[in-house]
Amino acid sequence: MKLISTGQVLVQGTSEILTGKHLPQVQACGTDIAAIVIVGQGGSTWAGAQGDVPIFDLVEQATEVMPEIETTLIFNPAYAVLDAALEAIDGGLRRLIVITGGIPPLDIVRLLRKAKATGTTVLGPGSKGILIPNGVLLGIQEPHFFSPGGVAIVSCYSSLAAEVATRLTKAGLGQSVSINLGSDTILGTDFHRCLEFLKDDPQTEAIALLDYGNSGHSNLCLDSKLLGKYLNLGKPLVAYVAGHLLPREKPIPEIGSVIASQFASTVTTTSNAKLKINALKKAKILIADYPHQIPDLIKKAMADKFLTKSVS
Amino acid sequence: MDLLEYQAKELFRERGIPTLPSQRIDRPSDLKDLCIPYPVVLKSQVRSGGRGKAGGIKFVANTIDAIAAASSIFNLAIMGEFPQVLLAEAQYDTEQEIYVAVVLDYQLGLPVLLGSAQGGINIEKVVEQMQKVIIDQQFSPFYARRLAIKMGLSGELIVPVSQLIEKMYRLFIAKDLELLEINPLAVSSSGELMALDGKITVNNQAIARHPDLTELAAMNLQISDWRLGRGRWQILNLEGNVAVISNDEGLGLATLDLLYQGKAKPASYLTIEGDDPQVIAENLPLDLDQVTQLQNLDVVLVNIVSTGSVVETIQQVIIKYLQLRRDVTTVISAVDRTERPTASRTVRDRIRSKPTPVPRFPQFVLRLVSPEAVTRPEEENNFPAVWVEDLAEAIAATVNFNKGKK
Repeated sequence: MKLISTGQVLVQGTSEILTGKHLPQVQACGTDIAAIVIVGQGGSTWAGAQGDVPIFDLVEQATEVMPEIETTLIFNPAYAVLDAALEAIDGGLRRLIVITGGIPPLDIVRLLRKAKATGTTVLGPGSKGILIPNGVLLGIQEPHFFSPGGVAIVSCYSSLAAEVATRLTKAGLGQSVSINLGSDTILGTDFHRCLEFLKDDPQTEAIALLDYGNSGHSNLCLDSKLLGKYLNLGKPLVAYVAGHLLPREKPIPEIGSVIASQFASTVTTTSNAKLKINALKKAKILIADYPHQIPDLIKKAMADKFLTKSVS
Repeated sequence: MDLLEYQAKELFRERGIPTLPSQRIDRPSDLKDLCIPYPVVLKSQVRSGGRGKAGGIKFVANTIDAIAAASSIFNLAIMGEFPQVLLAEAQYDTEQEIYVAVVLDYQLGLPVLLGSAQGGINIEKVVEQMQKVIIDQQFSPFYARRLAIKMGLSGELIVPVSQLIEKMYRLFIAKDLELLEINPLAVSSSGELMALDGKITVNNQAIARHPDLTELAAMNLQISDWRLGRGRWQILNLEGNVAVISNDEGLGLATLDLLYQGKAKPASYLTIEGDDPQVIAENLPLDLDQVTQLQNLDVVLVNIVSTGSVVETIQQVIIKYLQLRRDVTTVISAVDRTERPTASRTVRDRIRSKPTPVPRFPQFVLRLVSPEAVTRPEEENNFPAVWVEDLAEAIAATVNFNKGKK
């Protein structure tokens, strides 16, 4: 399943989204919101700038009359997300972007199990979505900070992505896409999945990965061999682990279990920034010590690539 | 959120996981009304492990000894925590001690069963024989049996232990737990099972959907409360002199990296989550109060990259706060705060009174970026803040401010 689709989109949530700023912003960026699902509001419409959007009570009602819908944006409250997502999958949708964050981890476990069984892609939870500058907005990232170009940004935190995008733009490097994985403790899509997609994306010429140090688990994957295979794509790859200069977090005494944490990755594990950096180093991926270095590293890598190309 | 042993055992009882008759002791005199026959074990109810070694677990044979032991345990802090409650439990005849646990593995994104035929306080022995079963599908009792057999338990224990593990798993799922550990799970000479200790960690995101746990959360004193709610200060170094406020953990961490790069000494950082203006207006002043208590704080760097409404709200709150503080501080410094001993004071008073230092208010470096232009207020006199557009400039201002002071 392709990670990104620019086709029709469903939005799931409660009536708050009808008066918020997210829907107008999504539409204004060129996204085709085909339908909205809000329980109890079926039959009414949302007056968007590009015309009225029908509201349904159930996902299946929407997908029945609009089978071309491929993606759903889920804004439901945290404890209702699992149910909304399961409903979406049952309604035939195979691409879920879960905007709401703070989902109970056991709910995420259940959702991802169902997703795996049905071949469904889940981005998030807590994802600010996907933004293609001057293209499409599938989420709530701020388009203002981004400009079109060739650098893909994959991040866990969207304000950091916005900061990096701003500096890239200043350096003359626009962005092909900004994918936000979210910051919940268990995520549906990791950096690998994104790299798999980006390596074949014609718009993307370079990739910046923005991870963070005290995530307690690794979206980046600590397998340097796996990371290493993305090096020979012809697309420079730069990674930044936010917080890697922080002093190693002292383990809080006795939260969790001294014994259990030796056998499972409990959230109480201390910062693994060092582990991530080591894996990146082993895989010979370029590492930025701080975000402002990223544009320079990319420029240099692209220049080197150009040089080696022209020499051979 | 960590539950105390007696709270965990309450949940065990609800689910048919066997526990000993026990009684909650809130003060040593409660032992006069003890309903459990002696000998009895008194256990400090604190979050830490290693209570036995620290002297928080005592065996007593009569009321007088019990009251004395209780007094000493109440006055014993383990890992910085004094018990509010003790648990009195009947003694138990153990033939064998095993270890069982259910834990959520965040790397796998799956629950995991752990078990060791060697339970108890000798961690190395427990770890040596630890077995693991990953629950990668919908749970079914065969997973528990798999663990019991991997542990090498003798035939007649397999069924009762795996049934108990099954109950543990159901409790784990029902209450959104991250960790459920029983160490030791005692086996008596007659083959009966008994959970002698219980450790439960409830996932913080899920507490609000369990009313009974929400109550407990309100009651429990959390040493590290800063983990419980987002939007609270994360302490890095109490000797540090820079505090960072940002609206996004990634941006905050990146700001800290830049500060460490510039040889500054960050003390703590705060992530303002969410975009609800009311919530921000409510919490931010309290957070600012908290951080400005730090002794060595020189600079508070505020780095916000967000939507117009969030930036505007934060800006308004900070400006109001700074205006208020600036006015108060001017008044205080006008008053002589050194206490002068007078003849009428007793010697004791003179020794105790020390001149209290005038609170030093930190400088603020404000970098608030949003898609819409947010109007900045006019420059005011004595306004303890500088406004910066670019992050690199903000870092430089912060770092140079420290240098300037030296």
